[in-house]
Amino acid sequence: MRQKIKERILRQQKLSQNFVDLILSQKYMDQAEFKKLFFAYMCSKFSLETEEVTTDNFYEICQISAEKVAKMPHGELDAAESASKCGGATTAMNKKILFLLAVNREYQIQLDADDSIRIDTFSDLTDCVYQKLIEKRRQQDETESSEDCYVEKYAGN
Amino acid sequence: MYDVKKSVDVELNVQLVYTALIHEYAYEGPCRFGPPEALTQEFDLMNQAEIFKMWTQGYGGALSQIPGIHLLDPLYIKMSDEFFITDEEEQKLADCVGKADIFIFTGMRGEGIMKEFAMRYHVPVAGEGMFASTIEHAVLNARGYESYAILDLPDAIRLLKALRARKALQRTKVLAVTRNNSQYSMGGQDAFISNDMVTKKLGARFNYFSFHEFLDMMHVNEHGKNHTLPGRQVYNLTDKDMEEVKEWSQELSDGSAENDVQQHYIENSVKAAVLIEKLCEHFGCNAFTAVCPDGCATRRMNEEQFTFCFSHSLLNEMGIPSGCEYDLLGTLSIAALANLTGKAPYMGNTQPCIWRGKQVEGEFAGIGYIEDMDRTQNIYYSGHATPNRLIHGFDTEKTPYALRPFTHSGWGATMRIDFSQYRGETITLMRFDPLCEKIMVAKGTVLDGFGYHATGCTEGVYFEVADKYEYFHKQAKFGLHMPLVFGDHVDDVRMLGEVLGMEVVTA
Repeated sequence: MRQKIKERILRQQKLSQNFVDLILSQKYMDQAEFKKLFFAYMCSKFSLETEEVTTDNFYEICQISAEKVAKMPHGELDAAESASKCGGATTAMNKKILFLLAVNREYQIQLDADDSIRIDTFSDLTDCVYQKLIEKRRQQDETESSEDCYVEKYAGN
Repeated sequence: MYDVKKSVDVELNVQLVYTALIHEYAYEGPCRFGPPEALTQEFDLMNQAEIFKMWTQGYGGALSQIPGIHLLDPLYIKMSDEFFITDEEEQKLADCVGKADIFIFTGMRGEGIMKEFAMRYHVPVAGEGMFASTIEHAVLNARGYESYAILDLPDAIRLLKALRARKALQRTKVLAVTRNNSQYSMGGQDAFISNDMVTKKLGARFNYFSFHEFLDMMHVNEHGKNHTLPGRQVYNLTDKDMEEVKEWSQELSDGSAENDVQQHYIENSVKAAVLIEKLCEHFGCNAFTAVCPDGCATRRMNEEQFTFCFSHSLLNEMGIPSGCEYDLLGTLSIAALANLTGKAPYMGNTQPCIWRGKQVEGEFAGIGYIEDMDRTQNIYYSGHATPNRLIHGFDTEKTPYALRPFTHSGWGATMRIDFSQYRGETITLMRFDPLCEKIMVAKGTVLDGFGYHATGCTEGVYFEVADKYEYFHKQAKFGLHMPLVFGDHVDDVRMLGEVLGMEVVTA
């Protein structure tokens, strides 16, 4: 049983990591293409099939995932998937935040509390993450270009 | 139209306060558990912001839909797991003192912040959600501070309506037209024992005004010539006022289902209503009462050929509480009920029916036998020729009405509503007690109406109560006039008693 759970989680992690790698490996990607891949990434994180996502409302998507996960046999869950804290947060809300934290970690970007409360839909989320990735890429390009200049300058000497 | 600052337009300013607990470190312990990522400061920052968003949009959104409730910009107060707030955060709260009428707190472990704030600034606070509501109220109530516990949204709405009604009473100033003394009238002996005590307890004020001066001012364009105020340029009706009188009278006569009153007699009565508005604007009043039998005995109403009945009907519809017979207590009960329910109360003599066979006592009041008397003993009536068309609510369609004269001679317009059409509907009645320490609230079911086709004061409603004798003996400690509105508002009145610090007696 434990082996089976571990295998499922690892399979999911591998699948979602594949999408992360694919997205980050592209130097330029248009937003429509990004949205498609990011949707697949989200489905893998949320243990959802694409046809199970019937809404753009991100809280509802989190809720669909939470309900699906709740039906799984006890012990077959990653603890973080069912995270629930007191203080008025819903399971769906916690799932949203854990998802955003995972995005921060895996894509090396910084979604913060202000971003979080602006994200009501999956489209909002996609827009926000896409813009953060573009900005990150721009900063990387600037750094690389200044390093190139540095190399060129000293190579010339 | 004169600019009367009506109490029904008073808004309650509500301040939502969310205390956000942001843990500085990730750790588990006896009050904290969960997967590692959900224990981080980063998680808390997002989580608390999300809860604040959900609370202010959902809870705050619902509250902001209630008429008369004005939601101030919600406050987000950050607290670390050292469980204190910085001066900067406290200042956000302090800045709202004087603007907000009630502070509603929620948030994990914010009870201490709420307690300190309420004790330091002496402002009403309420706790919402687990566990703030229970803890905070127990703490502050025991220390003598004003606080409330809120269970759910309906409970919150009930509380805010009651607080708004209290604020409205504090903004109420009664134009009290008296003849002999300012405390009570011949027809309204069951008055407050002390009006000053009422001002202290409810905040309501009284502007006493001479009955004779009032009647002199009904004489058009005679400023300076009034017998009671010779040479003084006062507030007599003018030609412009009379234009309004005529227009309003025509509208009332055109709108009636039946009309037995000659137009100039309708105008005589409407003149009083316009003068009341004019005096209310001048003296900053927004409620009215005047003597009845005491005024009648001067014979001046016979000369002027009007009664105040029609004014009471019209003013109550406008949200200007207006009570018969110089019943200041009843008038403030009308003000309380109107503000609590958003309905225009109807106040009459409220008494149990007593009968033997088909012989009913008190037929002078216009009551008589109804078939329900064969079925139950628990029949009450409430009657005065002052019903109005908005007893179901200020925002409802006006009830059809008839116009009948009060007097045999044909003058004294009165409004008549056929209450038999409301058989089966629930009504709620309330009245303060003479010490202004208690509120009586009762519920009844409409059985029939009386006096629709009659003249005089004989107009009203029969209703069934749970226990006539219990009702009667409780009511006898409160007084005769019990304002009523349609609907079950017993819980609303109970909450009003809570916020006014008054015992509520139910029947």
